[in-house]
Amino acid sequence: MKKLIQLTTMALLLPVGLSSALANDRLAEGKEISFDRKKGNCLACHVMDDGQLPGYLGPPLMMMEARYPDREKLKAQIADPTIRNPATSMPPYGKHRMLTEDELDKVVDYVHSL
Amino acid sequence: MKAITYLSLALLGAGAFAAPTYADPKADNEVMHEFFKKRFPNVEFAEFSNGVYAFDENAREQWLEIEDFPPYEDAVEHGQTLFETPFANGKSYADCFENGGLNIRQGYPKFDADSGQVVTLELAINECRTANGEEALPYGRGDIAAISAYMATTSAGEIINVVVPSDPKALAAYEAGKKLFYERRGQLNMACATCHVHSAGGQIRADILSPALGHTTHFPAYRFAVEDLVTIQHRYAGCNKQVRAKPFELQSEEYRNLEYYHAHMSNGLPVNGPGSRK
Amino acid sequence: MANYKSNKLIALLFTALFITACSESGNDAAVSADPEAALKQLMHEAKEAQAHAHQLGFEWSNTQSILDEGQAAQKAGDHAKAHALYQEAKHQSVLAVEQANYANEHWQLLVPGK
Repeated sequence: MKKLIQLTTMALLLPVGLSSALANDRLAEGKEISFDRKKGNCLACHVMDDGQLPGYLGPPLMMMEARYPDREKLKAQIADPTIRNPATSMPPYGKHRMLTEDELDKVVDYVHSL
Repeated sequence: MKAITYLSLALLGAGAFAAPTYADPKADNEVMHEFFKKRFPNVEFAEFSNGVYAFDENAREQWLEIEDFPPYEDAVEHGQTLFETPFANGKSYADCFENGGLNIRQGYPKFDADSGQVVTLELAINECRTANGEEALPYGRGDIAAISAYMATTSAGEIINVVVPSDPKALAAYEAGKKLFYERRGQLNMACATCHVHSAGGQIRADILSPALGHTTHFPAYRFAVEDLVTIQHRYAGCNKQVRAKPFELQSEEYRNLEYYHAHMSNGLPVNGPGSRK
Repeated sequence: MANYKSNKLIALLFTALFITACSESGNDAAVSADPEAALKQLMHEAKEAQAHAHQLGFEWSNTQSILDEGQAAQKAGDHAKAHALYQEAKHQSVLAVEQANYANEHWQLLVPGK
């Protein structure tokens, strides 16, 4: 009986553990794309996470969920920041296809988690 | 009658909108100089010739140490030798320029009324060569940069005075250069002004963005990134590539007009080329 | 209404069957020559868009290498990859032309004092 309970619990928990592991992988991928100089290169202008040698042109990327309760707004901002501010220095990562749709989504997930 | 008045008013209004804005280079400089004085209130005006070393103490110290044994010294010497060596026909560079080519850097680029074109110092050097039966030198670096750098040293401390005459073609060239300076281009969607006006002094990774004011005073410059003496237009091409825009040809009309606007902006600053930069 | 829907569904099903039948009935010329021609057409369009962006002085620096990669993929027989790359090059150039038009209208936005 005890074994049965253990097995059941494991079976029930497995998907949770698996999905959180997958989510972590996704965040790690998002981080890698964000830090890659040929991809996001976010560190060129933003202090973020444990990134070394950051720039200071843009605001530090922290408390992002509080600043962007709506993930889609953050995504729109990274995809084309000129919509909100036509004079911005930031490149339009989505509009100008600097990132693929999949890469953009991973970057958004990662940045939103900061 | 009333309708006619309204109509003419409307036409006037439309005319005011459609009228081309005539370039006013002098007013542009007043605004630009004011902009940078406000942005860097502790920097003496003449210090803008020193780029980021005008305001970043750490970088300045390292730079001053390097300038004790300038990395461009050999190139300048080489440039002087080339400048003084006569062409096959017995003439030399001195015959092509006013004042024998010495102490003239501060007036370049110039507008040439005959051709209706902007003439940069490097273009004039090559025109001198071809007029005397010599082959034109490749632009960007090498001998052309060395000759230009030597000529700059003969203008050390002279005040930049790039003239835009009130010739419609000169004004159009200036305006075209100005437009190029402010247009966002490339996949990164950046203008020269994005980094070198609005973010000047800001830090990207370990680099500090230099102010556009004072850029042209110290070119040709020895760039550590290239490990060579390069012309200002070589740098334009590099900047364009960095924002993933296909560069224009060196000494193309586009880049000459850009240099015209860019150099005119630094009127009033001392010539201090060649310099050394990251 | 429901009747209309089911009729439509049946029509769709027949159309699908018809298409499948046709393509399987060995209309070889249409199947093997068409992708080749379509690919050629797409490459042509990509190059035209690139030339337009170039003429405006707004070509992106990475467009040519994407086209080159596309041609290499086509040579190697990887049509799907070539298609995607040509499409990307074309898309980039359309964006570059759009960027040129925007700059022409709005370049004064970044002039200080404006």
